[in-house]
Amino acid sequence: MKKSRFILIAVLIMALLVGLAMTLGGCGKEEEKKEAEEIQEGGTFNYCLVSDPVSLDPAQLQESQGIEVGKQIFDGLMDNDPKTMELVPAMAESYEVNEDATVFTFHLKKGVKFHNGRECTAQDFVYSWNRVCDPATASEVAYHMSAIKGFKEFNEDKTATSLAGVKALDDYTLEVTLEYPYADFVYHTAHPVFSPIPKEVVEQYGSENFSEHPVGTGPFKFLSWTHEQQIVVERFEDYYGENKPHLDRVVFKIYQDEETAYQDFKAGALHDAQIPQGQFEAAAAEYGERAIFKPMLGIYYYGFNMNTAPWKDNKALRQAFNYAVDRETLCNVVMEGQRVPATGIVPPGIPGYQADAMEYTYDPEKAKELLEEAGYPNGQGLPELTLGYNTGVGHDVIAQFIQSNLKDVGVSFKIEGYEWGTYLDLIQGEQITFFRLGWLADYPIMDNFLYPLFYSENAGVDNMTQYKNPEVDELLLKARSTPDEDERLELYRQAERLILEDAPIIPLMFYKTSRVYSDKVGGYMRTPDDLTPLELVYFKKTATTE
Amino acid sequence: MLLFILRRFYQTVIVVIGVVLVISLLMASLPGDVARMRAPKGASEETLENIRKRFNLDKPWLSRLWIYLSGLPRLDLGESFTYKRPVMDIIGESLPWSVKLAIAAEIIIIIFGILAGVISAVSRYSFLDILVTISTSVLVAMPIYWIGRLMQLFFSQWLHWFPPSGAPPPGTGFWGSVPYYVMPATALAAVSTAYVARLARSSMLEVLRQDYIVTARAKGLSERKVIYKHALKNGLIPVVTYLGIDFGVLIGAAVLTEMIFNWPGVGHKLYYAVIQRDHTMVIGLVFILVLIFVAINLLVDISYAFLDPRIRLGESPEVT
Repeated sequence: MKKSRFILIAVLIMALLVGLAMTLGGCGKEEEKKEAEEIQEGGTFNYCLVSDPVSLDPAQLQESQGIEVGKQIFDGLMDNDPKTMELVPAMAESYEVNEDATVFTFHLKKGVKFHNGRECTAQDFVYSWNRVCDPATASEVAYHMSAIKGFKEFNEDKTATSLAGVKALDDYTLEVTLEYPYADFVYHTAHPVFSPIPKEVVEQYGSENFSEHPVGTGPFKFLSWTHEQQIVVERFEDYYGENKPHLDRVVFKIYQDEETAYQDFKAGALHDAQIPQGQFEAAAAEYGERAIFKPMLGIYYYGFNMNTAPWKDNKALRQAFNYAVDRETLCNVVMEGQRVPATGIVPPGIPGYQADAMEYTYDPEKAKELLEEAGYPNGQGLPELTLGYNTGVGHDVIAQFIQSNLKDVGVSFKIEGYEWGTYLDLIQGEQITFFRLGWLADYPIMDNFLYPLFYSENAGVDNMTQYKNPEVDELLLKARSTPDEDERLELYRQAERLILEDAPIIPLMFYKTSRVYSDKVGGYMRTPDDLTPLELVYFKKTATTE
Repeated sequence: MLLFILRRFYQTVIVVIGVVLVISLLMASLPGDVARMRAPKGASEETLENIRKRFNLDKPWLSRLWIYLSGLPRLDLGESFTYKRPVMDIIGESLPWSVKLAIAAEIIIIIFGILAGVISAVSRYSFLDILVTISTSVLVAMPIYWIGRLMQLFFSQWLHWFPPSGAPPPGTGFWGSVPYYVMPATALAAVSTAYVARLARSSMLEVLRQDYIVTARAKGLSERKVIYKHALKNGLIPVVTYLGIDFGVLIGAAVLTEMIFNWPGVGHKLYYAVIQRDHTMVIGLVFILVLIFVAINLLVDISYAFLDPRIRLGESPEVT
C-alpha cells in the first residue's frame, strides 16, 4: 500500500516535471506553434509589390521587385537558408571545390523539372549562364559572373563565343572554373541570375520576350503578367524541393506607392504589405508580432573622398567624425527605431559578422581630442565643407542630425541635396568629397561588402571613397582564395577592422525591413535579404480564402 | 469648316513638333549621367557604354532629336530607359485606362455638375442654391489626396462597398468593373464637378436675363420649356468648352488620383518617367497627351456650331 502510494506520488511528480519541462521548453518555439496551427492547402495569396518589375528574365533581374518574383519562379544550384542565410543546396545535390578555390564541381539532383515538364540538366546551366554573358543579351547584371574563366573575353572583349569556364561533364555534373581563386563564388550561385532556363522556351518566344513567358524550376509557375497591375503564379506540382508550396496561387499586386498598398492591406485586399515610413509605431501596436521589423543586409554610410583635402592623409580627422556621431539617437529617435546602429561595415545576418568591429561610440570628448590631433582644434582651420546627399527620400533629416552632432564638437559644414543623376556625377568627379551612400548585399557574404566598396581596383566603380590600402587588398585577395570557411572569415574580419581603423567612411546604420502580414496566414517570414519564401506560406484552417 | 479643320491640323503638327523639341531640350539639359543612374551597382564602364549606345545617349542632342522625329510618323516613340520596352506598347497599355477613368469622371461631372448648377440658378437664393454654393466651395478647397483617402477609409475599410484601389483585373466583365471605377472617378471628378456647377449656375443666370427668355415667358411657355428648351442650350456653351478642355486634363493630369487608387494610367507614368529621367518615355507621353488635347479642342470648337447657330467658325459673330 505504502509502496504503491509512493510509486503513485513519484509518477505524479514525474508527470508534473515532464509537463513543466514541455511547457517551458515548448513555449514560443516557432516550429511547435506551426504544428499547432492547422495548415489549409490551397488559396490565393495577394502579395504586395511596390512598382512593376523591369523584367522577369534571370539575365535582367536587378531590382528588388523583379528578384522578389523571380525567386518564386526560378531556382539555382544553391540557396540561402531563409533564417540564417547559410548556404544550402537547391538544385545541386553537393559540390566540391579544389584546393585553391578555382574549380567548383556541382553534382545536380536528378529529376528536377522545368515548368514545361522537361528535366533540367547541366547543359541547361551551361546554356543559361552563357546567355547571360552573351553581349547580344545586353544583360546589365552579367557582372555577377565576372569571376568565371573567359568572362572578359566573351562579354567585354567579344573575342570568344562562350564562357570557357563552364562545362557540363555529364547530365548531372557541372564544372565551373574561375579566372582567379574565389572561395565565396558558390554563394553567387544562389543569385537568380544563375538560374537555369530552358533553351526551347527562349527560342519559342525570342530571347527579348522571355521575360513575358518565364519558365524556371522554382516552386511557382508563371501564369500571367498584366503590366502595372498584377503578376500571377501558381503552384508547380512537380516541384523538386522539400518545401512544396501550400498556396494554389500568388497574385503579385503591383502598386506605385507604399501608402496605397498599406491602405489596401488594411481593407483586406492584400495579405501583406510594406509598412510606410511614419506608420511603424502604429503598425507595431496594431499588428503585434505580425508587424515584422528585421535587420536587412545593407548599410547606410557617409563617405570621405580619400584623394582630397582635408580627408586625405588625415586619419585622425576621419576618426573624429566617427566619434562625433550619435548613432543610437539617430536610429531610435530620428528613424523611429527602424534602423539599427551600425557596428561596422558588415551587418548582422552575414556569416562572419562581428559586433565589435569598430571602436567608434558616441564620444564627443574623444572627437575633440582627435580634432586637435588632426590639426583642427575645435574645428578651427577646416576648409569650408559640404555634405552632399540625394534628395527625395528623407536623407535631409539625417544630414541635419549629423550636422548638429558635428556642430557640438565645433565642426560646421553645409548640407546640400542633389538629384540622383547629378549627385552620382559629382561624387564621381570628386566635386562632392563628403557624401551619403548605401549598399545592399547581393549575396550574404562579407566579401560582398568589403571587396566592392574598399578594394583598390574598384575605386571609382563602387569604391566611391577611392580607398586604397595594399594591406587590405592583400587580406581580401587572400580571403577570397581560402577555401576553409573559418580561416576565410577571419581574414575578412581582419580586413574589416583595418578599414574601420582607417575610417574612409562613417558607418551610420544598418537597414531594417518593415512588413506586415494578415492574421489569416501562417508560415510568413521575411528573410534578411528582404524576401518572403512564399513556398512556406499557408492559409490557416479557420481562414476563408478567395 | 473643312478649311478650318485643315488649318487646325497644320497648327497641330507645328504645336506637337514644338512640344517635342522643347521637352527634348529640357530633358537633355538636365545634368547627370542617365546611364550611370540607370545602371545597377557593380556595372562596369563597358555596361555603361552599352546602355548609352542602346538608348542613343552617346549621340548629340540634335541627332537624338532627329532619330526621334523621324520615328514619329511610324508612331515609333523609341524604347523606355526604365522598362526596356517600346514606349508605344507602354502607352498602349496605360492610355486606355486613363481614357476610361476620364470618361467615368466626365459622366459624373456632367450629371452632378450641370444638374446642381441648373437647379441652383433656377431656384436662386433658395436653400438648395445656398447648399450648392457652400458644397462647391468646400469641394474646390478639398485636395484630391484627402478626398481619395477618406473614400478609401469609409467605403473600403469600413463598409467594404468598393475595392480600395486598382483597376479591374483582366477578364472582369462590365458590371464587375463598375465598382473599381466608382471611387477613383468620383475623386477625379470632385473638383471639376464643383467648377461646372458654378459655371453652369452663372451661365444660366446670364441667359435667363436675356430678352428672348423674357419673350418666351411672355408668350406663356411653361417654365420647364423655357429652361430646358431655350435657356439650357445657350447656357451650356461655356460649360461644354470647359468640359472639353477638362477632359484632356483629366487624362493627362490625374497623377494624384492614379497614385492614390493605384490606377495604371498615364498620369503617374509621366510623373515617374520625369523622376527617373526616362527621356523617351516623357517625350512619348507628352506627345500623345498633346495630340489628345489638341484633338479635343478641335472637337469643342466644332461643337460650338451645333450648340449656337449664331457662331460660324472663322467668322466673328455680329454684334448688334
